[in-house]
Amino acid sequence: MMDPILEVKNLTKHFKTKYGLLHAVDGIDLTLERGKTLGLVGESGCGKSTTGRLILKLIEPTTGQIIFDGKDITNYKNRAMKEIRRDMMFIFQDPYSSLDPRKTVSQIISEPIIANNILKKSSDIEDRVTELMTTVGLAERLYNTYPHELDGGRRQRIGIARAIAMEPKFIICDEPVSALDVSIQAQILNLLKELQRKLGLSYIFITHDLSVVNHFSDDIAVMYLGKIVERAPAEELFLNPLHPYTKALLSAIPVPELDVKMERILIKGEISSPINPGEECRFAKRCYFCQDICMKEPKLLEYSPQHFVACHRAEELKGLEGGL
Amino acid sequence: MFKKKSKVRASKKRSYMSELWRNYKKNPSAMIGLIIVVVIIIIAIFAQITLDYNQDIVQQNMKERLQKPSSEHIMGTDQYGRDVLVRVLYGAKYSLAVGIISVAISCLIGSSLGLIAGYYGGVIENLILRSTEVFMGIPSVLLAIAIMAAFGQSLFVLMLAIGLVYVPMFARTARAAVLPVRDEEYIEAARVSGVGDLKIIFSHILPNSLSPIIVQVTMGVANGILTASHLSFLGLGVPVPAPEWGAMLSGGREFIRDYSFLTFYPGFAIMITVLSFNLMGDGLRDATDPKLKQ
Repeated sequence: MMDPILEVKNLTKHFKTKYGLLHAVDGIDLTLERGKTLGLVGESGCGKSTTGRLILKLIEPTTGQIIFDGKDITNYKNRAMKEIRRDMMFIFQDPYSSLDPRKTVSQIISEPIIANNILKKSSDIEDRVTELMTTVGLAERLYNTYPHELDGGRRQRIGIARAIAMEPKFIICDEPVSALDVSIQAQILNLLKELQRKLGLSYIFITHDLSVVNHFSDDIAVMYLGKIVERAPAEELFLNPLHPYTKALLSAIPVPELDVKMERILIKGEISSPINPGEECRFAKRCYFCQDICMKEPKLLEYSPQHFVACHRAEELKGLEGGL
Repeated sequence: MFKKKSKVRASKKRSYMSELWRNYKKNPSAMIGLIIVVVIIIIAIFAQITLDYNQDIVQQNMKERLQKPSSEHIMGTDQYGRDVLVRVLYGAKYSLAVGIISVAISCLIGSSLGLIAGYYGGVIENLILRSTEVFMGIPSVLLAIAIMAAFGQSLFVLMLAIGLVYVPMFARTARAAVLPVRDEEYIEAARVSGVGDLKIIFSHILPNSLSPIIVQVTMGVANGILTASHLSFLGLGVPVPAPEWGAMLSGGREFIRDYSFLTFYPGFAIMITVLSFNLMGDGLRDATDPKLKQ
């Protein structure tokens, strides 16, 4: 916790719907150290993408504080935000809808450079775009092609080139590989890793796939229904999961060995509604270990150094392995 | 090396239009519409060059009034002895000018309003949409008459009046076209990249929502021509003695029993022009429909 590039404190986003308040993100705290990767894991609809958009202030938070690079950007408006956004970028999940179909590869990649007036001469811009394309592994001959002529992996490389064009300090990757084939997933992950080393980037890596985040993250935060239920260094989380939800998620990762028998913790039912959630633990309805105490919402507490968990029964369940 | 790149880029940029054209030319009725429109434009230009307005178009010749169609006057002559064919050909200029310029006015104002409404949403959208609804509640010809009455009668005011009447249609079309584009991720990506709202609207949203607007433009020309003829028929359009088709219809109205050709030919000219623009519009709509693309 020496030099955090990003700190998020008590970040909350409630959406008004006609059925009540939708608690998309409910008071989460995150810390990301410079040059590190924080994995944000959770199932669909748990608010992880909303969190990403909140941090970039694409949506205004309801309450909370976002401190980026030592500056509190929570109340920054257009002009000041534009300055800050040079240092924060976003890689989108869907490489098909995140690229304008009417723009060529070079136009897409050069967009942030032109919008921020970094380079003025068109030959300089062309040089820079070519350089960026080489960096992310796109052949120069694709300079004038349109996105629809390319496959998913190449398209995602375009998105990555656009994200690093401004040499940002921090990138939010919103499920950057979930729309890609497995073979291409590895390529893109390696590219992201390499860029992090070269450019000293810090990532927030949003995903629903724990096996992806394992190789990629320094810290992992597990989200459930707008809350962070467990946060720990990656290794610690995989060795010592405390929250029943984390245990269940981990048990679902396939092990590629013949003689290992998979013992899965199954979660019953489906994610409950984020609209007007009650007082109980958010996971209580699906939890196999639910007791009376779980009718009160647990706080995210430091269980062991750097390992935070929000479960009343974390201590009791510690020894329990999967299969129960 | 870079020169070569720019060249490639220029040739690639046209691909949207070339794709549109490839789809368009498969449609025979659309091609017929296009050919007729081109012919009408050529006629308008040639009539303007070769005919003298004072001598051929408006000079009266009472000796030859109300002659039936013959080899000398293919479409006959009107009550002032003027050749109907020459006047119909010369009149193409007015209809085209009114149609195109009024659509340009309404497209410019309407599409901008629609883009703003669709992009910003919320209060601005409500304000723009509700006021277009107020305008749409007034019959278009009545509204045009009111505008003509306020600003006086001239060709320019006619164009302006028709242009303003069709603003709401363009605003609604543009807004509807913007809505699906607005929530695309590449708009969000542009915002993250630091692109300003105005640039986003014109460089991302407009190109991606252009198809319905193009179709609306073509249909709008047909509507504009029709409305102009209405107004001229009512004596509010282009001032007499200009050979505007609607005005010619109106002039021939009294003689419709005995000399029906006086109303038939200008009416036919209006019909053909409107029909061909509509065929073009239909063809364009089909060509821009992504479901028809191979």
